[in-house]
Amino acid sequence: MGRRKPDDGMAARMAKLNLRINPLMARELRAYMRSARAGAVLTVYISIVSGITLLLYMGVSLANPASGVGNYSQVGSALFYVVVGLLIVLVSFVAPAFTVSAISGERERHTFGLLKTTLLSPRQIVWGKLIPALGYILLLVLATLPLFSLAFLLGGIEPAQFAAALCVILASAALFTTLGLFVSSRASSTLSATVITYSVVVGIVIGLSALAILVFPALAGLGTRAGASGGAPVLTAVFVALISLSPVGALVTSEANFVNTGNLLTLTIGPFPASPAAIVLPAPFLILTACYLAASGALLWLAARAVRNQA
Amino acid sequence: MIETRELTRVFGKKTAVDRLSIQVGAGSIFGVIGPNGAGKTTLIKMLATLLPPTSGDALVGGASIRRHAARVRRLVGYLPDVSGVYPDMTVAEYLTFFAACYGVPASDRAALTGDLLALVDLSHRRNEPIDKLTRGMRQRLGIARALVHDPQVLLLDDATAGLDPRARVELRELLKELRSMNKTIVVTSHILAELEDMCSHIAIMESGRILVAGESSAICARLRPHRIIVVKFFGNVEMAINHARTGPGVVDVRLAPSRSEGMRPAAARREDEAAADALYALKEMQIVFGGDYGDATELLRHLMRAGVQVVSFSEQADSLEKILTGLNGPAQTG
Repeated sequence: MGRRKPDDGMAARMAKLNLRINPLMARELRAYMRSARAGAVLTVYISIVSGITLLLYMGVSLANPASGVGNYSQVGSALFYVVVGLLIVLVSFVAPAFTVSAISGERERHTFGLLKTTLLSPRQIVWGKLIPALGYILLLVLATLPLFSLAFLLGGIEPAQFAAALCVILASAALFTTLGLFVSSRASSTLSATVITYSVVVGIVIGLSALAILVFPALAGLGTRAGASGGAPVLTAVFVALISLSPVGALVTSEANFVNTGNLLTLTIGPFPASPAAIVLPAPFLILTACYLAASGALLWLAARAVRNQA
Repeated sequence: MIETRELTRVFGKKTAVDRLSIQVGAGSIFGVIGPNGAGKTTLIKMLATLLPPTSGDALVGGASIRRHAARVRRLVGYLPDVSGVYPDMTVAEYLTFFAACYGVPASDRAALTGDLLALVDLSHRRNEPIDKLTRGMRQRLGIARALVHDPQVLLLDDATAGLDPRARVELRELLKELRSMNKTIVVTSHILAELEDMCSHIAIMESGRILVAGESSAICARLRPHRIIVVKFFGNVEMAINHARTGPGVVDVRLAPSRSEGMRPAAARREDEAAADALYALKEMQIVFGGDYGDATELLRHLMRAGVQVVSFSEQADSLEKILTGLNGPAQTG
């Protein structure tokens, strides 16, 4: 058969395996690009965003026939927020779909055991599943860049706002893809992984924002009374924490703070009647980015552990 | 090549493999036979480092499955009972992918894939999607995948399950060829007849324990001192039985209950219908046989030469239940 000898430099090759392209990663990337889903998602997404942009532009132009610089900047600003909003929806609800079957699908195809008996480590298996999914989400974000450039061209948006939005979008993409991967590594089937993952995503994206919005008036009322007793800073911090863990809440709060104060990186609270010194916190988008990246790292570690412990 | 030492795996309250100690020599084909739930798959998974043992250990090529899992994986090729595939890949891509997972350099992968496909007789399918392959072809592809890193040991879990007779014969021939390449093969099945003529050694397993193990010929002789060969034929019964009795290796001959299968040729026209029916009805005799495969071949020739119109000549497979009942009886020594 002309085969290699059993010990033909095998150990040396194994040592180098970590430095090479993870073969699972290459396979997954190829599978993404070959699938009809990848092209369909990209086409539908770009069509929707472009359509909305066109409608927005036409709407503003028709409403203000004698358009001036102010109107253009309104269009630019609206366009920016619409595209950012769509991107957040995309990373929240499409990104998990790319990883939710990553490990459970291998088990259902009976290929999980085959992968585990190769020389790929559990960490390599997990990264091999994560990076292609993240790469595809990044492709979707990059495909949106021309629309962002249009928003800049029309005015009304600062590069700092774009940077904050990008942090939230990328951190959300990292969290929601790793969440899908982690649940997939633990769930008994892809169906149950999908249900669990999307329940958590809805809880984070919609639930936390809704909770913050519902709690805010109560906090405000409490704050008035608590202000006298010195409890207002704590209550406000609770609100900021809640709002900072939701992509929508963190972005809206950060952008509003930047527009009102010109300060992107910090959020100043106070002074309160009982505590005259203002409290300076990191901007919500920074809190979200740090928390999401830390959670992503933890979920990745747990997913690798689950892969190692399963047969 | 493989040595298990009190190897045990417990799932909850069930002991799937119970203090198992066996030795498999290099270059042998070791068949593990047992009913469903005997612990065969658990044993194979532990040897493939997919399942950690609850206690005990196993050495594969001197490497412990507990402490040197990575070393064991380099030595072992594993084919599970259901060999998974990626339906979006072609046959060649599938092998190339697993070669990459085992660290085979990119420059070697094309030649390696070609060699392996030739070995399992799938060269003509190399660019076809895997989901177009038959089950037998997938099984052969699975064996090729298990060989991509040129392992010294092959672990095949119920490799013949679900295969048609032709695919089973092809698989059997492939395993013999691999043995000639000095691979050590551990193969499981719940059918003794499937393994006995290709395994050099056999172990019978039940409830996580080995009931009996040893050289295949010795085990088979012990389990079945006499085989039953079923011969279906047309023609004179007495003449056939008398000739069979004088054949090599024959201990006894008995006529099976009459079958009313309509085998009478349409062209045949006789006045005496009863005599014609007797002549053209398909008969079956059971030969209690104590010879080897060479004797069996000679017996068939002997019958044909004597003018017995043999339609089929096959060995009756003993059920595993019957064998296990025999082993679990008072005469069992383990």
